[in-house]
Amino acid sequence: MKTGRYEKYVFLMTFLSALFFGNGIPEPHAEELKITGGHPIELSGKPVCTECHSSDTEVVMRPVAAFNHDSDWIARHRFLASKTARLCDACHHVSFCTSCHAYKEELKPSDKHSDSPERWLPHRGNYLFQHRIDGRLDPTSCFRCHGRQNNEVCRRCHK
Amino acid sequence: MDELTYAFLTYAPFKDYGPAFKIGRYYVFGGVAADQIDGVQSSWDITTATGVSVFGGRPVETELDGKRGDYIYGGRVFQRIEKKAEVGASFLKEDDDGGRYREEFGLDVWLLPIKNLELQGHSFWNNITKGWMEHSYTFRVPLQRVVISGLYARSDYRNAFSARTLSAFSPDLLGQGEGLTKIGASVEVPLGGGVSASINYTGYGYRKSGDARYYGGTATAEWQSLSGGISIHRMDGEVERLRYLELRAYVKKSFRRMTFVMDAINLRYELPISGLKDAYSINGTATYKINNSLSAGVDIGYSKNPDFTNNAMVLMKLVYNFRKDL
Ligand code: HEC
Ligand code: HEC
Ligand code: HEC
Ligand code: HEC
Ligand code: HEC
Repeated sequence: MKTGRYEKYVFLMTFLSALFFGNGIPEPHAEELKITGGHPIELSGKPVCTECHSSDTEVVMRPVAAFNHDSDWIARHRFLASKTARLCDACHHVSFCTSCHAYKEELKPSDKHSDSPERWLPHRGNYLFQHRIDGRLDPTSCFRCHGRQNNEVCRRCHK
Repeated sequence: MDELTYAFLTYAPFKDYGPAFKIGRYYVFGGVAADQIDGVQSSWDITTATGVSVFGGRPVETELDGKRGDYIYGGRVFQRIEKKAEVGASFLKEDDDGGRYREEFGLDVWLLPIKNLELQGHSFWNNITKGWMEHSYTFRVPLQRVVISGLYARSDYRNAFSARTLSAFSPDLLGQGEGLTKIGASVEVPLGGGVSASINYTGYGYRKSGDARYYGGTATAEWQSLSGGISIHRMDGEVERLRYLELRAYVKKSFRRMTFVMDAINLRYELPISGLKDAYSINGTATYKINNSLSAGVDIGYSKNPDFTNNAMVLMKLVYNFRKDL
């Protein structure tokens, strides 16, 4: 499999800078948070845990910063969802997850969440044309939601 | 019953650790599994360092045939090593009409080798086609303010999409033996005063078709009830349809119970597609929050793309959010 020349360097450089900067942070002396019930205070908007919890706090054997809902959270939440489900459950009802992870859903996530343009969502706006380009570019991401469910509307054109 | 998205009961006598059960229609997430089932799930964190979860039931999927003989089950075990690592192993088996439909194995890791460098990812194996479905790994460095992250993902379509209910994912369309390697990096920098900027780069390498690169930047800002964002990205591919510039801008303003949003996306294709070089989509939304769980809204959209030279749509909706605390 061929990958472009640049990718390797971009990746390597970011990784090396990560190693360089990552090591410069003082050793945390951890305080471990327990999940007792729901989150004690209601949060609105994507939470940056370290805005309220000091960065040496830990939860589910990890630094709390691992759960900061920052700009790459959408790309990352899948790795944590399957490891720390109980923590997710403390703040999220499953209806929140199914608002994007539907089985048979009439509305696209971006229509359902049209009042939250700050969210990272697949297919915004009129997508029927652009989906041909994106679907070929990276079908793996589409497959997660459309591979075995959520695809009745697609059958109109994809027999 | 079929339209139901979820309905389940949870029994968790111990909150933090100890066994918990779920029964009904539910999403199971655990290693290879990210599936909706009608069935039962039990997870048990035996100690803070080890745990196991199992599930079984009927898959909830688009039906192409009858439901007889369809079942799905699987599980995951994990071991944590101090606060430095978590390693998990998982499997999933699904039968369709009594025949083997999916047999998948997964390995997942989470590592904190040095302070503030977090590595995580997984590899999934398809035991029917006997090949790797995907490898997907990320690293991330959350510094005081700046966050650096990177991604490596590789997927072999034949193995990854073998159990599908949509022809769009078949090798006939995507190409025999096709596969994708994706490498990406991003840096997010909060600039203070509610302003934040990020740059990102993703390289797409294919086994058969021409490669592509996607890169650009995003800036977002927030002042009290007003927020907005702009982004510019370039798709730079070897094939024609993967050469375009993508621009997006949005603003959002809230007044008490009302929220107004304007969102515009513009795609400028380098070479015209069906005679059109400039596609765009503009959306306006007004939402009124009736109470904590109910809101009503109107979306108005206007778009122009190679399929439709002009297209307008209006969508009215009533959204009910089930809240955790209600
Ligand atoms: C707006 C501030 C704020 C944010 C943001 C925030 N928390 Fe909290 N959190 C609190 C407060 C206050 C408490 C209760 C006091 C305490 O235990 O420190 C708490 C408690 C907790 C607890 C203990 C729960 C219990 O039942 O006692 C956990 C676990 C937790 N937070 C996790 C998180 C995670 C993970 C995030 C990020 C996704 C997060 N918090 C974001 C303020 C916040
Ligand atoms: C401390 C509470 C808390 C915890 C713990 C938490 N979340 Fe969140 N999460 C939130 C809040 C609050 C939002 C913003 C909700 C909104 O915008 O309506 C959010 C948003 C999200 C979003 C949408 C992000 C976007 O871009 O719109 C996803 C996906 C998500 N969470 C997944 C998870 C997963 C998976 C876990 C467990 C690994 C988790 N969350 C743990 C509070 C939490
Ligand atoms: C705002 C929309 C949104 C919400 C809400 C959301 N997700 Fe996701 N989720 C996504 C997207 C988009 C992807 C695909 C990401 C990718 O391809 O990298 C995804 C992928 C996943 C995956 C991987 C699926 C697979 O088949 O590999 C899991 C697991 C997951 N999400 C769990 C959750 C959980 C648990 C919640 C609720 C706490 C949640 N998600 C809420 C958008 C969302
Ligand atoms: C987080 C889950 C998720 C992901 C990831 C996702 N979609 Fe969707 N998509 C949906 C949902 C839910 C709908 C609404 C379902 C429906 O119309 O039946 C939808 C609708 C669509 C539609 C119909 C659009 C319209 O305007 O009528 C197309 C086409 C589409 N998706 C293609 C894609 C492609 C291509 C990808 C990958 C680049 C993708 N989707 C990724 C969840 C997702
Ligand atoms: C209005 C007709 C129409 C609908 C509805 C539709 N598609 Fe497509 N789709 C197309 C066309 C046309 C192509 C381009 C085929 C080509 O280039 O050979 C395409 C291409 C794709 C591709 C890329 C594969 C390829 O052959 O290039 C994927 C993936 C895809 N569609 C997924 C979906 C999904 C998922 C849905 C439903 C959520 C959907 N499509 C709905 C017409 C449609």
